[in-house]
Amino acid sequence: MKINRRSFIGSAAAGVGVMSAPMVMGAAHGTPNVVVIGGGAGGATAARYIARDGGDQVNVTLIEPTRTYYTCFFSNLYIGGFRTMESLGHSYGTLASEYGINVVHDWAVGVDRDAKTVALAGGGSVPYDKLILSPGIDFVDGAVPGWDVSAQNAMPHAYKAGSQTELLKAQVMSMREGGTYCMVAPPNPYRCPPGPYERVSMVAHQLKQTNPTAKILIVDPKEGFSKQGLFEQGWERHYSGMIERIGPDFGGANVEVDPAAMTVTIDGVVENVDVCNVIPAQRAGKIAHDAGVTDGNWAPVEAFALTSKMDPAIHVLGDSAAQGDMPKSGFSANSQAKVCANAVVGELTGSRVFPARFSNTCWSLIDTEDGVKVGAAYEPTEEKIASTGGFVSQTDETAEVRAQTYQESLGWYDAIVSDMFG
Amino acid sequence: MRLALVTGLFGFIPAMAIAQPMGDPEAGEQLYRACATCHEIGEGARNRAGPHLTGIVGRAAGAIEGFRYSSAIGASGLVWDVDMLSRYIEDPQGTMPGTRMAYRGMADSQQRSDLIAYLASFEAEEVAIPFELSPEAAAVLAVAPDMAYGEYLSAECTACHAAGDAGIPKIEGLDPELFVTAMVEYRSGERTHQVMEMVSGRLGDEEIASLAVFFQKAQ
Repeated sequence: MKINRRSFIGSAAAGVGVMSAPMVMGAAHGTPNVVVIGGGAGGATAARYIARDGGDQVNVTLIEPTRTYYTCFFSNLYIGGFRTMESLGHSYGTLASEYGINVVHDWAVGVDRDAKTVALAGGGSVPYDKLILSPGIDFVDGAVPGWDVSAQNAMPHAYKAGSQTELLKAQVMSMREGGTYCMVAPPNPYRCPPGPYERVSMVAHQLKQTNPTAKILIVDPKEGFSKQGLFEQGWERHYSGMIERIGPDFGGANVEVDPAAMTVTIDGVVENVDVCNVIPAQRAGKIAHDAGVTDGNWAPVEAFALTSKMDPAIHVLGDSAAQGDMPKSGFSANSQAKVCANAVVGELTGSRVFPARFSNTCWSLIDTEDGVKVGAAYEPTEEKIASTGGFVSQTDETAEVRAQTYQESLGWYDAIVSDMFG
Repeated sequence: MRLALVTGLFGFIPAMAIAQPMGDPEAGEQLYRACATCHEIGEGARNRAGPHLTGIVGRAAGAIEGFRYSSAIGASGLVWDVDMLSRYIEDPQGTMPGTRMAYRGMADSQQRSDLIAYLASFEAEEVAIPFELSPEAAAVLAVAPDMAYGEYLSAECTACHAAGDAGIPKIEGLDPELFVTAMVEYRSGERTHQVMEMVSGRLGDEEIASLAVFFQKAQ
């Protein structure tokens, strides 16, 4: 779709009429507006690349409610004591000062696709020519009977990094001697496939030092999980006897919780637990549903530029998108964002658009210096983003290889946050 | 030429490494007979089944030009200081799995100290060995680069390669000859790394050439 200059001017004028905040000054100059909702691995990267490559030919607005973004990736390492929470926090200052991005710390509460405007919780709206949605995940209501967000202090999800992560770690550290940490693992698809199992590893690492008679119980609706052989070998090696996993064959998919009583009922059998980490089933961030670009839990997109199948002026990146074979990960979102940015800038300014190419690598830490990874390359097809082959760490790798993999993950963290936030 | 410079950089290290308590070089000379089948040492030493060992103490692993190292050694990124050499000589396969050195290992730590003292008595020769491009790398470098394409492609690299050098090497400002050599070797599997083999495996000559020139100029 080519931007029609006349219709663009019309929509910008309409936008100004309902504006109360002075945040769309650029629109008056006839420069196309790109609005990005969500400042994580997808949104921050897209905003930065579009601003960088579009220069003064494109206005970029990034709407993100938090002033400091805590990366979900590596937040398990905080639980394990390998990172501080501070080291996971990033601000949007460079995106504003060096890339000229209009960073709006507010919630996007609605999208008017006819008027092409985004409504803000704080009042006013922002007009767009291209809208990029990268709002991450929300939880499916009623996914785990007995749990909802009002119970998230008693039973934290810690699946959006920040205060929830700090709460869960505090609960693990103060758990009674010999107590039970229970994780209710999510069904597919969900953010960060190895994440719950890296978390179990990190909790075990802490408990082994401070509370060695404690137990970890995983209640899992899935038959198998990412890097399963690697995790299970690592658990046997480092945390023998501490971790038990109940899969669907033994009722792992039939679970209820009672946050007041701190019980978990698995296939009718009531278990008392001391810490309960409920990671519910997930769906696209709320704004994607409000915008009407979802089908079921996720937002379907085509594979060449992550364009919504519902609206050619909207792209959906990262966890919220139903795109095909890529896992929901920060790495994937970052990869998708760059492809999308190239296409969007090309469409708005006439600059060159190159073939889409995607990749993903997920590192996980099992214990000190025991890192593993999984990754794959992807290409767009008419049907979906399709995997073209990948790799995974081997069981029985030497300590040197594992230590090198862990060091590599530290390098990746530095690189991706600089790719996101400048 | 760039590799020779890197070797020179590590030339500062031997003084520190040698400052540690050493064994008896004369006893080490006797022990070295077992090594001499494959490794020459001293003035004019050449590579044989193994690389020459003149100046090995403090040398970067895999640094001798013209010797085809196993990826276990070539990609290790480590420096042969006294401690590392001792661990390697004690148990080559256990310390560097995949090494092609067939030696079984030397259990006696005094013997290892003696042997390393002997090795350390030969200082590196100040000879810059020219960096020779493989025909594959030369062919890539002959392709006309497309800077805009290189910039686009570089976004895949910068997901992992930061401006710092921790954990993953910095590639900004890298000499194109080194960049292309590395990518071509990853692509052929001569150099091993799971991520890099995957990334390079779907890069054609034009893509590699464009990336090389882009990163040379990037800062």
